[in-house]
Amino acid sequence: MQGSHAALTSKDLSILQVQMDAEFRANRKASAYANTLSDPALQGLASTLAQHHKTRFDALYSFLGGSK
Amino acid sequence: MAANNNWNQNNSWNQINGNSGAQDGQKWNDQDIIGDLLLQEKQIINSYGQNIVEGSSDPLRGVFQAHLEQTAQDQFNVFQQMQQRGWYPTSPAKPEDLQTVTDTCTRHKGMLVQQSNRAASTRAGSTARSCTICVMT
Repeated sequence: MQGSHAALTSKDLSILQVQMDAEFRANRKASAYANTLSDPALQGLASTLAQHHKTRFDALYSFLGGSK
Repeated sequence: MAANNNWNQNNSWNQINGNSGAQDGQKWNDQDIIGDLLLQEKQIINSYGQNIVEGSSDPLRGVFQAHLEQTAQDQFNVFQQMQQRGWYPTSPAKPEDLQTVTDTCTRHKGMLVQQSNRAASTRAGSTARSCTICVMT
């Protein structure tokens, strides 16, 4: 999300950080699992999950940047 | 569903990285790993749900709501993969349980209809009185 938003409250910043941290960790974990799974279909599923978590992390990061 | 709560993220993460977090010392198989991913998606959904109601700006809440919906879809995809492999067995509701729930909810539905009718009747009466006053004025 681009553009500026109204200034974040401290609570908004806090929960934004919580969600970004969760998406970051979920991406790392799903990526690691994708390399460990033996079933190719499940490897693909884990990779897709990892990509989606990255996309959502990026969106939250953009939101954070747009709030400066 | 409850079985998924037995997965511990720290233990699984340590196992994947070759650490000694495993309680039983066994390497996780595909079922264990996918079950852990399912749990992870559920936890993120819960986190978004909690934080939507904490957010004070409409744009932030909107982003969280969109992410909640996306994550719920991802979680369902994981669930379907598990179910297809027999890793997440489900059973149909018992007919007697279905009937009990239906009876209760039908009773509640009737109460809601009565309440709605009473409210409509009260509003109609209020409007009528207002009109009377207007006419008198």
